[in-house]
This record gives sequence, structure tokens and C-alpha cells, in this order.
Amino acid sequence: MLVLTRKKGESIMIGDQIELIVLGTEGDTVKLGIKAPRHVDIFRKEVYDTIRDSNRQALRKVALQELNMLTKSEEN
Amino acid sequence: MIVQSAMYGELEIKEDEVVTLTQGIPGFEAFTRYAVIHLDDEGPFRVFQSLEDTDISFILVYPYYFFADYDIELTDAVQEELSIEKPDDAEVWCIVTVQEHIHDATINLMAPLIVNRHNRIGKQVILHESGYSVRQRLLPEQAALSETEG
Repeated sequence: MLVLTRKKGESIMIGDQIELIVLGTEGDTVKLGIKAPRHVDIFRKEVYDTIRDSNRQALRKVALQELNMLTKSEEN
Repeated sequence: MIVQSAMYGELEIKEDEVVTLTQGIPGFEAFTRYAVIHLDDEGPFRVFQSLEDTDISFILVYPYYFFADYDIELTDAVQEELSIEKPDDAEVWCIVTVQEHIHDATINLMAPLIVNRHNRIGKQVILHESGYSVRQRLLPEQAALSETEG
């Protein structure tokens, strides 16, 4: 992992289009600003991990006829 | 066209059931070609089968079948990425997870799969500020209980 030290107000470039700016710090908390093209998705890592874990869990065989039980329950 | 699925065997798909993702879904980033396959004509469920890896398949559900008031808003960036100009351009699907028991199935309302119904380009969109759950039960626990007992 590349480690860089930056002061408040300074930034780093990732490629030529993504800029990460250190806006300030408070105790353990660092406030970052991000400038990136609109097509770049930006999330807190926890959010991405949650979706990834959910997708991985969803990858299992489901008895297709059992799915109909869900819709029948709904109708009752 | 016939596709092979490790989980569901040979599946027959129509051309218009093929979806190309702008980027793979989280956890499966390398795979972008899928088919959204009808199980029967009426039900809200589909098989989401990778065309690149027979081992990768998911169950999708039409979310409004269970959650009629499911309300999502796509950012301008997503609309642009998928060439969606009006709500009617978008198909909305959600991934279903079934653990031990079918009645405990959950639906990922936070990250729906949005597909442009005209050009079949899609993306799993993460609505991280929507308040929707990644693991919302499809059936209320009470219904699941009574069904199990019955």
C-alpha cells in the first residue's frame, strides 16, 4: 500500500481525473472531499462490502418450485 | 438460445432476455453478461444466469410484487450511464437470498438491478441513502411461522 502524508487543504490525484482532498480532521475522524467523474461510483467501503456479502450469500441453488410458495403465502 | 446453468441445468433464453452490465455486480465484478430468464409466464421471479460462468446464477424478483410502494430515485449519473430518460425505460429487479428455509427468503432492496428495457444495459445500483435494507424479509415472520406450522 502506498502511504502519503498530507496536510489539511492538500490533496492527491488518482489518475488524472480523481482528486482526494483532506478537508480537515477532528480527533480520529478525517473529513475527505472527492472530485471524480460522474461515472465513478463512490461509497463508504462498508456499504460496498455489505452489498458484496449479500450478493455472495445469494449465490446458492434455490428450488424453483419453492419460490411459488412465497407468492402463494402472499395471496393468503 | 440454450444456456447452461450449473444450478438449474439447461435453460432456454430469448435474445431479449440477455442483459449486459456496465460493470459486474459487487463480488462478481468480472462478469457482465447475464440472462434474465422467465421461470413461468406469471410469477414475479426470474433466474439471473451468467452467460460467462455456468456456476454463477441468482434469483431475481420483481420487487413491486411484494413491496408495492417501493420507491427509488436514480441519480443523474446512473440515468446517464444506462441511457434512461424516463421511469418507463427502467426495469427494476432485486436479488433474492434464500437461506435455510424458503419462508425466510430476503430481498435486497438497497441495491436493485436496473435494466434499460430498450438496450438491455444494466447495473446493480447501490441506494445507500435510501434507508432500504439489504436483507428485507419477503414474508413477514408471522406468515412464515404459520406457514411452517401448517
